[in-house]
This record gives sequence, structure tokens and C-alpha cells, in this order.
Amino acid sequence: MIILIVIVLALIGLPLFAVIAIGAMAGFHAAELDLRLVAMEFQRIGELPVLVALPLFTFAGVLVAHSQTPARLVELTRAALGWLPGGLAILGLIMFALMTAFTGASGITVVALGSLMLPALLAAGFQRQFALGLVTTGSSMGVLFAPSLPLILYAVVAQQVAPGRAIGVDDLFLAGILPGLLMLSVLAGYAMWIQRRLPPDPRPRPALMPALRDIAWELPLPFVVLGGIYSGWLLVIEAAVVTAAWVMISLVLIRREIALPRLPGIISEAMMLVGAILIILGMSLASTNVMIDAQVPQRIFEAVAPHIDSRIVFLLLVNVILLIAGMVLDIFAALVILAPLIIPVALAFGVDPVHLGIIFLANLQIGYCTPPVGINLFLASHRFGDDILKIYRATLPFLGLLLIALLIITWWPGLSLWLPGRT
Amino acid sequence: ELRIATLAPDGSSWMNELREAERRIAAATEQRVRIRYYPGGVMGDASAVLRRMRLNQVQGGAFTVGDLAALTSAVNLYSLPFLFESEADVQAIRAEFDPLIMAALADAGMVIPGLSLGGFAYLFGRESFPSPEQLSTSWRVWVPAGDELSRRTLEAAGVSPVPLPLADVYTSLQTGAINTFASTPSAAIILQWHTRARHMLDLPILMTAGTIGIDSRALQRLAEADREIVLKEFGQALERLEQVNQRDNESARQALMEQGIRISAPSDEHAETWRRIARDTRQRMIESGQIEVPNLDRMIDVLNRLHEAE
Amino acid sequence: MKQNKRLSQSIQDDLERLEGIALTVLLLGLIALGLSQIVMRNLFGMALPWADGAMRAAVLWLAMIAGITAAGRMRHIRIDVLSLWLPPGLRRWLHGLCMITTALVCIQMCWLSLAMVRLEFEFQTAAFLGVQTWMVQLIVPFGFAMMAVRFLGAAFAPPPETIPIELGQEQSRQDGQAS
Ligand code: NA
Ligand code: NA
Repeated sequence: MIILIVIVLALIGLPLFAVIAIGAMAGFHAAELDLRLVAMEFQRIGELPVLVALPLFTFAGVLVAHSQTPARLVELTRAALGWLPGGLAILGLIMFALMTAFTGASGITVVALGSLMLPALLAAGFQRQFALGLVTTGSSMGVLFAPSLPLILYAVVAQQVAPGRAIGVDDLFLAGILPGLLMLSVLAGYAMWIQRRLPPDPRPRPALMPALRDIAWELPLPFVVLGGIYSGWLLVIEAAVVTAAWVMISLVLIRREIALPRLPGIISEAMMLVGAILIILGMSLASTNVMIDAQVPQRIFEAVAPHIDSRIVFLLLVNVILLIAGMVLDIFAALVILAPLIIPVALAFGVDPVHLGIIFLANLQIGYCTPPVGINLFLASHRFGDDILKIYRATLPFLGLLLIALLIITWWPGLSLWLPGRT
Repeated sequence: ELRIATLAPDGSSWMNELREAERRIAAATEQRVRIRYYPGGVMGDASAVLRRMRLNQVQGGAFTVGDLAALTSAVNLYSLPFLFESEADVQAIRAEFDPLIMAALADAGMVIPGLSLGGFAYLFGRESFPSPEQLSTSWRVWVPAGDELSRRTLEAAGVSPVPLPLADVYTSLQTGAINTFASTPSAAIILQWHTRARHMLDLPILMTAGTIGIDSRALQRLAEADREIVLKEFGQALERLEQVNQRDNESARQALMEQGIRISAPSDEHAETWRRIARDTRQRMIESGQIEVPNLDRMIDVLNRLHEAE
Repeated sequence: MKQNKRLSQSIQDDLERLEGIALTVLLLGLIALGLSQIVMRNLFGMALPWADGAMRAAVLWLAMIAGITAAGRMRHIRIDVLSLWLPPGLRRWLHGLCMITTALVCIQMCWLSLAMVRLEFEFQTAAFLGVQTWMVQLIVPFGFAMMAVRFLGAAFAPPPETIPIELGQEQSRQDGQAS
């Protein structure tokens, strides 16, 4: 009964944190537990070390989005790869992935980078339909690459439900690389195949050296940060500190592209993204705790185990559930609501929680662009002035390709687990 | 039903002994008392479990002696660095001082059936350990977050203490944020910290000890006879665990040596320097009221008499 | 009446500016603290033992203050699929219902977290330097109280133009105005 009311309220626009809070309070009440436990769980968003990275990375991403850096990136792309068939699309995909990995928000990528990339793709001779599809789906690339926020959040949630399993953020960062590259290269291959029939970009290409010099301040950052994290030289939090400081010093103090008085506004904007997510996370810590208390995951496992005879069947079922969830739920909502339920069941089926995490995030990444409520579809429609149905159609071939990549990721645990050495 | 949270994962020797106790309790009380465990830290760390006990979500938990300092300063007696010189020291004072600690905890609302020693913690590091005077701030030593006495003792020794939660120690060893840590031999292997060490200083630092703490209100709700069964079974489980720990530490010591870790004893003079630094720091902190250690004088008397007799 | 409205609007603006300043100070402090810790560790081999606790506390404060700002600007993540297809009258009514429900949730959370602060006060644990954990946690009831006020206010205002859910939204709105 309560579940039904909560679902209806959620669908008519009740903020998600309130939805989860009502669910959690109802759960604690039903278990005859002290409701103060809800507040106790919520306060833990101030105690989880890795969460310190969130505001820092997000601030860096939003600041970059407000600067001329995206324009410089597009120039560099044209200069460096304008000659290769589909080259612009390929490097564009890499830019999207970097941007989304750092901001943690594919919405920012659509708006800041997508709106620059779309005209460049059109000028290079791509059809509008293809370019729209590429920008919309491409902007969700990057969820699987460090230091993306969904990866960090999955690690946090997994550590809550399975603290003994040593699920480190660094393991997930490593695990995401190959599956992320697989998804990227599937789309890149498609772009090359489309482009082979097109005439080369008629516009003169900008010279490479000046374009490189233009971006000299920003270009080393991904190498320093990703190199630092992957080599173990920087802790995740330290990498976040370096990123935030670097971006602020180069854009505000050296380039002076962002006037100091604009800083509080931009910080508020970035922190609202973080605050909204952390408040939801805090509530979901409470709902997770009451589910553990009531041993809900064990009961689910006992209910489904007799009907499922193998790990792969279970994982396919998880894919179906997550794809459906991804269609109607926001990525963070899907993560905090479903991960605590699915992780313990998956562990009982012998699935590595890190592999499960990559499957989870690959699904939710696709969910960014699945109709009816993929956020990227709406943002693209809103931003580029195209009808939402046209955007749906434009993304379909890309979605088909991503689903194939998803099946490979599901079937082949080694792809995820080889780099973190968990095979 | 009693709900008990532990950090130890299912399948560990702690959980095995606790499950055994659960079976015996259920049988002896004819199913009147059921125990339900939340293993593997799903209910959070010790401070979270203490709060959950207060809010009656769980009625008990597995704790280290250090965790319980939040309830009563009496447990500090067993957490003082460089006080005990040997296992024999500890065993000699237990009969007198274990009951004092148990009584102080009971006054604070927590009943413990006994204490289970986990073995001495030793210093591990990348470099061989020189005399205490030669130590510098480049020795970045882990101390458990909140353990002020160890932190200040190390500070007085001239090294850099780095307070961290247990979960962060391994990564910090990897990044070099810390290069030295103290641990029992068996814990160093279980947590894989030993892969980051080349040397172990064979000088006992402090005796680790763990216990099962049960909320006294929850125990009061049980019938007198059932209560005694619960305490007796958990007490026996703790005793069995102490023996397991002892064996584990001995074999871990062997394993460490086989993996190339040099275990070297300090000279008597070095050992005495460490003890003097610890003693001075302890006295300073007690005099300035930064730490309370009830019954300390009495215990030191007992120890002195013991050492003179040798 | 009109004057009242203008006054309340200017109070709102002042509050938002104050929140912006608080967020800026906290975030810049977080960066400065993190940087000095990296520098101390790598150049001088020293550690600031209290820095981690302080940074974690800053995150809690950032989240709660940003949550207040987000409540004022309808930036909390919502799923809102149905309202696109609903008639405006019903939509407005349901929006009010949602906002009042959210305000009630915030009031309850304020109450519960205040009780937790009281419990934490008894435990007397230190968060960092001289600051106690309960002081850090005071921001939680305060934040929920302020959010409750904002959501109550929103209940009686017209529903926002529906731009779907979450992120990048502010940016697109600003860009939309500029073009
Ligand atoms: Na992302
Ligand atoms: Na979606």
C-alpha cells in the first residue's frame, strides 16, 4: 500500500529524496525500529571519505563548461583529426567521454560540448539525423571511466551492503576501462562506416600547433589526474583536489575567462548538483539499512534462486530489470535504489561485485538516452530545437550498438575483471 | 531475540565461534533465546554499532577494547603503549583487573562476558628500526583514529603519527601516506599490510583484546537462567577465540619470516627508551587531564612486584 | 500586499547570496585544505591529522546548504513523467500536494536529526581539532528546516516550467535566455 502511494507520488513529481525518505521511514516503522536511525544513516554522508571527491570534480567540470575550453577542444579535434574518415566523430566521442567522466553529469556534456560539436559535425558533412544521434548518445560515454561520479557512488553503495568484499573505488576505476573502450569503439566504428561515403570536410582545417598551444593549460590535466589515479600515485580525493585547483587557477587566475565575481554563482550551481545527489544518497543509506535489517536481499535470493539455474541467466535478468529502470528512472535514483537490492543477490550467485558494477553502470549509461525519459534526449531536444520524436529515431541505431556491447560486457567478466586483477 | 553486529565476515574464526555459541544457546534455552548476527560490518563500524545499541536496533556487538573507551575510561588500562613487557605480564594481572573493567562497563550499560586477547601489536615498516633517538618525522606511522595516547607517544618519539580509520590503512601504505604501522602478526597478514613491510620490531607495543558487548537492558529482559546461559556460552566462545588467536599469531610469525620479513629484537637500552617515552607521555596526559586511567597505579604496583620477583 | 511581496523577494535574494557565499567559502576551503595536505605530505613528509575530518565535515555542510539553495530553485531531482500530459489545473494542484508532502518530510527529518544531534552530544566524540561531531551535525536539522520553508513557499507558487529532471539544467536555462 505504502509502496503504491510512494510510486504514484514519485511519478507526479515528488522530489526523489522525499520519495526515498518516506519509503525508509515506513520501513523503519514497520520493523518497529527507532526512527532516529533514519537521521543517523543520513548523517553518514559526512563520514564517507570518498564522497569528498564529489564536490571537487563536479566544480571542476561545471567551471570548464562555463569557460571557452569546450570550444578549444572542438578546434583541436578539427585540427588533429579532420582528415580521417569519421575522425571528427571519433575524437568527439573521446572528448564527450572525458567531459562526462569528470563532471559526472552527461547533461552538462550535452549542453556544453554537444552544442559545439553538433555544428562541427554538420559542417563536416554528417547528416543531421546521424549527428544528433551521435551527440545524444555520445554524451553518455564516460560513465565507465574514472573519476565518474556513478562509479564512485556504486563503490560507496557496494561497500555499505558488502563491506567485507573489498570493493575499492580503484578496482572499479580499473574495471571500467576496457568495457568503456568497447562501447566507445563500437560507436566510433559506426561513425567511420557512415563517413566512408561522405566527401571530406570542405572547410579549411585549423593548424595543429596553434590549436595545441591554445589548449596547453587544460590538455595535461586528464593525463595528470588519470595517470595519477591509475598509477596509485594520487588517492582519489587528492586527484579531485588537484583537478579543482588546476581548473580554477588556469581558468580564473591565468586565462581570466571567468571573472572572480561569477565564481559564487558557478560554485552554487555545481554544489546544487552535488547537494541534490548527496541528499538522495543520505536517504538511500537509510533505506538500505532497513533493507539489510529486514534481510530483504536474502529473501529475494531465496525467492528467485529456484527459478534461475545459472549465473548468466541471472545477469541477463538483471540487464532487463536495469534497462527498464533506466528508461523511467534517473541514473542516480536507479543506482541507489536497485544496487543495494541486487548486489547481495548477485554475490549469492557468485557474481563478482565489481563486474556487476560495470554491468550496472553500462545499463544506466544506456538509460541516459532510452525513451521515454532519458535525460539526454530531453536536453538534446531542448538545446537543438529538434522534435523529441526525431531525437528518439536518431538515437535508435546507436542504442542498438550499445546493447550489443552491453551483452558482451555481461557475458565476458574477464573484460571487466582483468585489469583490476580479480579474475 | 538478540541481534549482534560484528565486523568479522562470515567464515572467519570469530563468526565460526559465535555461530557455535548461538547453537549452544538455542539448545540450552530450548529456543527461548535466539541470536541473530549482522556480520561483515553491514551495521557499520564500532561507533555506529554503539549508537545502534542505544537506539535498540541491535542489542550487542563485537568490539575491541579501544572501541569501548567511549563508554568508560576503565578500559584504557589495557590500551597503554609499552606498558606490558610480555604475555606473562598480561596474564598475571588479568584475574584482578578483568573484573574491574567488566564492572565499569556494566555500570555504563554494557555487559561483557569476558575478554579475548588478540596478541601483542608490533611495529612494521620498510626500513629497519634504529634507536628511538634516530627516528625522524619521515617515519609516518599509522595510529587508529581517536587513539590520542598512542598518537602523542609517537609524537614524543619524534615520528609523524597519522591517524586513519582501519579501512584506509592499506591504500595509505600503497601511496606512501604512511610507511609504518603497528599490528598483530596475524592481522598484518589477513589485511595484506605485510606486503608493504620489510621489517618488524620485536618489541611488544600493546596487547590487543576483543569482546562481545551486550546491552544490559536487553539482558534484563531475559529470565535469570537464560541470561546466565548466554553469558557463559559467549564467555567460552571468547576463551576459544583467545586460543585460536594465539595459534594464528605464532604461525603468522613463521609465515612472515618465510616471506622475507626481518624480525629483529631491539637492544635492552632501546626498549627502555621506548618505555620511558611512553611513561613520560602517559604521565603528562594524565596530569593535564587529557586521559583518565583508573586503577593504573594499582596495576603498575602489581607489575613492579612481578618484575622484582623474577 | 505588493510591498510585502517585494520585501520577501529581497529577503529571498539576500538569503541566496548568503548561501552562495557560504558554499564558496566551504568549497575554496576544501580545495585549500586538500592542497596543503598534499604539499605537506610530499614536500615535508608531514600530515595534518585533522584535515580528513574537516574535509568530510565540509562535504556535509556543502550538501545541506546546497540542498537549501536547490529547494528554492526546484533543482532537486524529480522523476515527473506524468505531469507533461496532465491538464494545467490538475498539474498545479498536484504540484502543491507534492511540495507540501516534501515540506512535511523535511520537518520530520529536521526533528529526527535534532534528536540525533542530542544523542551525539552525549557521546562527545571529536570530529576534528576542537570541533565536536554534534556541532558538525547541527547543519542537518538546520538545513532541513530551511528546506521545509522553501518547499512550503513553492507549494503556493505556480509549478515550474517542466524541463526534465536533474543536471545541466541551470546552464541550459541561462543559455536559453542569452540567445
Ligand atoms: Na557521468
Ligand atoms: Na533514464
